[in-house]
Amino acid sequence: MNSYVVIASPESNAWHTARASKRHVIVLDPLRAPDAHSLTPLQPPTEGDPEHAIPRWAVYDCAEVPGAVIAMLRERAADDAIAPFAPLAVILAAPHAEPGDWHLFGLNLHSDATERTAADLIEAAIDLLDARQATLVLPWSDPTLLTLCERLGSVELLCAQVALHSSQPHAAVLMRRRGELRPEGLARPDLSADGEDDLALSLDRLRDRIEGGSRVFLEVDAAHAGRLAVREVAP
Amino acid sequence: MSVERTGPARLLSTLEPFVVAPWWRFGSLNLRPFGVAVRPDNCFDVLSSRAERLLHRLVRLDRLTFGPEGMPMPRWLFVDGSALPGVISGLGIRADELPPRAVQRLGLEARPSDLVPLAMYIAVPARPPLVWYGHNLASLNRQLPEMELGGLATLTKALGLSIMRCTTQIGATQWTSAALHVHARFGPMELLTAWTPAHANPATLTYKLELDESLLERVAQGIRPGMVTEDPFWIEPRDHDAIRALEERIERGKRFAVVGPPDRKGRVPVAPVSPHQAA
Repeated sequence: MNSYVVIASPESNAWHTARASKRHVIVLDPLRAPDAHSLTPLQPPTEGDPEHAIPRWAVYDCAEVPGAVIAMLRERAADDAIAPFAPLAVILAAPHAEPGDWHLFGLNLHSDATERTAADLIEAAIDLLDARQATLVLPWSDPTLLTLCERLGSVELLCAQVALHSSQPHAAVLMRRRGELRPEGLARPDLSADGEDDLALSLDRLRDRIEGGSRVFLEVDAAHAGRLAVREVAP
Repeated sequence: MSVERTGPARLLSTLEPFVVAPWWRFGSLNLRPFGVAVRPDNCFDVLSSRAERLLHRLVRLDRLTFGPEGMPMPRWLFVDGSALPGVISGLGIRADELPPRAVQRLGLEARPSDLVPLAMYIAVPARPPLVWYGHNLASLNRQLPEMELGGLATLTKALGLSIMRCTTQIGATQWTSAALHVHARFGPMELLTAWTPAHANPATLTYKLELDESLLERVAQGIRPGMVTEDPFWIEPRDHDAIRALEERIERGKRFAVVGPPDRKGRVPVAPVSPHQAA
């Protein structure tokens, strides 16, 4: 079973939910200097790819104090008692203004993470935060999206092309715990992207449907392995 | 107590408030802060295509305020660490009401009828719905001296906190920051940290303000609270030993607050939190 470190201040609800969790978790308080000195290896990168790099102050302001930074640790050898925290993956969390809802962002995977790591961390984060539901922004090209649909049954697409994520198209999705999101509605194969060339057109159509009042859900396409299917609940 | 009768009232009558948040949040926000209505078309759903151009202008506002040597926020954080979980609110003006050539001078792309943000306040919830963490207060007061925007930052913060219905605000700022003059107008700032190794600049204080609507309205009217205590001790912002010593006392359980704005030498007044204040 994976171990986790949650960096959260007592001002955040995450401080309380993580400490109450049944998972193997260490909670560090960024407001206390002794804990703060341990945080460096748990930080997302501060330089490099602009879609993943995040300044130190922004991690503090947007996540550590009001929300949480959640790190999944590598397994350590039994004799490795004094090694610093060695994260396999890190994600940031900020509470939504609606109590019980959280936004997850700034996902960073280390090079030896597997394809399942991101979804494992997201599921663990939802559990550690005791979230009723959570939003997440991630690239359409990220296989995590498909894995989440496999595990959760479906996710709701809130926005097909999120502004200010400029390197590649990003989706904003809403996740609920398994069994709580069972969309009725019409399967819409015409809204699915059939390869990269088709993606931009498909995203425009999805955006139009959502802005026109439809609710759009993504799920695994049973007929085409590795592809997302779209289900629409029209207004 | 002194009252500034010109600035805030004039700013509220000439500038337009705006709000950026996801569509489902607008119903829980106060869209008549201090009796000033936020027009429906100035409520922007952060996930809609309609908000995109305004978001780009907000990024530009941030860059103009804090400059290249400041601490620029990655563009995507205006969504993920700001308007999606929280709220961006502010005051703006139509592009054709700006001084001639100001749009080009500021590097803003805007059609004449577009709303140009002149100031913004960004906060995310900490313990929703009433406790919020403010992390960005930007204003073009210095870049547009001809518009006489004095007091704009303070007004924008008060307006934002009223829109969010915030009763406790947490934030962080540097001991050397001029923003302390703004934050101290909202009352005693209880120190959660004095020395903050978790921040990019350890000489950062983390503070907490207790608020209510009448206090916010007084601040918005330009009423200065004055020094909370007559007998503070003073922190010299570059005296890191003194700041560390204060942090050690906080970590041992003592409670302190910044009780007024910095003096002319930049020294910050700090006093113990009395049991009465703590209650």
